[in-house]
Amino acid sequence: MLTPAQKWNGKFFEKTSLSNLGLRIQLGHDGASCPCPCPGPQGFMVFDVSGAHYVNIDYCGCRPDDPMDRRTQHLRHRWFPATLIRPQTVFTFDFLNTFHELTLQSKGNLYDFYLTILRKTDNANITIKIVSLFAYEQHLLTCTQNRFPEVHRTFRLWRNLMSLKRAGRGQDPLGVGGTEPGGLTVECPACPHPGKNLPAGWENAGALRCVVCLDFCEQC
Amino acid sequence: MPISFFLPLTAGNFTAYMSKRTNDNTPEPRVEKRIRSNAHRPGFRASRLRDAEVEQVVAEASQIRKINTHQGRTRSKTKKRVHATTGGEPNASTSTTDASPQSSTTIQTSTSKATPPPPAKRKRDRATTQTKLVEWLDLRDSTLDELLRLDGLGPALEVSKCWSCLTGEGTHRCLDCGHGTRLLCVGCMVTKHCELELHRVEVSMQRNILFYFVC
Repeated sequence: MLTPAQKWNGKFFEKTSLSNLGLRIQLGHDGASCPCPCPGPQGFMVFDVSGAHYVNIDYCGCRPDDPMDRRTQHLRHRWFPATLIRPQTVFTFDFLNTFHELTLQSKGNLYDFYLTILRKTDNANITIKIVSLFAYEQHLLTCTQNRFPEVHRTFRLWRNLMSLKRAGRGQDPLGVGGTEPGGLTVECPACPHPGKNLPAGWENAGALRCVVCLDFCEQC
Repeated sequence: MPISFFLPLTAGNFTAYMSKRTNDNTPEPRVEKRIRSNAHRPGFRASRLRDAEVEQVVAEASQIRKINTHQGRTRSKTKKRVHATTGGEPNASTSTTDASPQSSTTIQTSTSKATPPPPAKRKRDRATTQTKLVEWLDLRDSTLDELLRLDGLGPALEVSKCWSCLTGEGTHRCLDCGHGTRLLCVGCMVTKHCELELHRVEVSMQRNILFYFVC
C-alpha cells in the first residue's frame, strides 16, 4: 500500500507509486469494499517511515451524519490525522512511534527526522515537491507544501497520548480529565520512599537520618 | 479564490470601513489578545488555561470552524460586517443623533458587544497552533480509546476464525499488513509471509488479552 514501486521505462527503473497505478485505499471497512464510498481530497499525503506518499483514499459514507466518523476511520487505519476536520495529511503510528523512540534514545530532533524522511523519499528533490526548509531552496517554499508545522503539532499530541496511555488513564472511569497533577510522572526508584525502600524505624536515626536513607537506597 | 479572499483587506475597503466609523476614541474589542497573552507567561502552570477559559476558547474555535465550513472562504468579510450592523442593532444609528453624553456611553458598550471584531484579522490569526491544541482537548478521550482498541482485538472481538481460510483458529496478526487488525491462523500467516519475511507478527495467547510479539 505504502510500498514504493518502480517502473521500467526502457532505460532504467523510475519511481512510481501504487496510487499512480490506480490503487484507491478504502477506509472504514477494514480493507473491504464499501457500498457508498466518498472520495477523499486530492493530494492526500501519508507520512510513513518508508517515506512520504501521495495516496488516493475513499472514505466510508455509510454514516454521513457523524462528522467525527472520518477521524475515527483514520485512527482505525493506524493513521493519525494532522488536523481535526478535513485532514489532508496523516502520519502513521509507526512514523510517530519511531521518532519517539529515536528522540528518547539519541536525543534527535524532529526537524532532522522530518528531513530524513524527505531525503528517503526523494533525495535529490526531483519528482516529489513536498517540502524543503533549506536556505538555498527558499524559492520552492512558495510553490511547495511544507508539512513541518503539522508534524510538530501532531507529535506533541502523540507524546501526550502515550504518557496518558502508560499512566493508565484509558482504563480509569474518570478518563483523561480526571488526571491529577503529577499523575503522569514516573516515581523515581532511587529516591527514598518510606515503606518502600527505607528500613523500619528510619525516623529514629537522628542526625544520621540522611546517611541511613542514602545507604539503604544505594543498596536497593 | 485567493483574490476574492484577500479583497476585503485592500486599501479601498479599509478606508471605506474607517469612514463609516463614528469619531469616538473607544478601543476596539480584541478577542485574541487574552489567548495570546497566556503564551508569554513564564512556566508551564501559568500558561495552562483554566477550565472556564478552556470552554470559552473551544466555543470560539467552534464558531470559527462554522464560519469556515458553512459560509466558505470566498464570502467577503465586508458583507458579514454590514449584515451584522444593520440587523443587530437598529437603535444604534437612531440614538447617535441624540448626542447626549450619557446615552453615548451606553451606545458604545452595546455596539462593542454586538458587532464582531474588525475585519482586519488575517487568516493565520484565526486558527493558531494553540487554538488547534485547545480544540483537540475534547478529543483526547476518544483518541485514547481508539489507541487502546487497536492494542486489543478490536474489530475481531466477535470473530474467532481465521480471516483468510475461515476455518482455522485466528490467533495471529501482522502489524504491517491488513492494518494490524486481521486475525490469521498459523498456516495462513506463514503462507502469506513467504515474501514478506520481515513483517512484525503478534500472537494472542488467549482471547480478550493483549497481543505479544512473536520472536
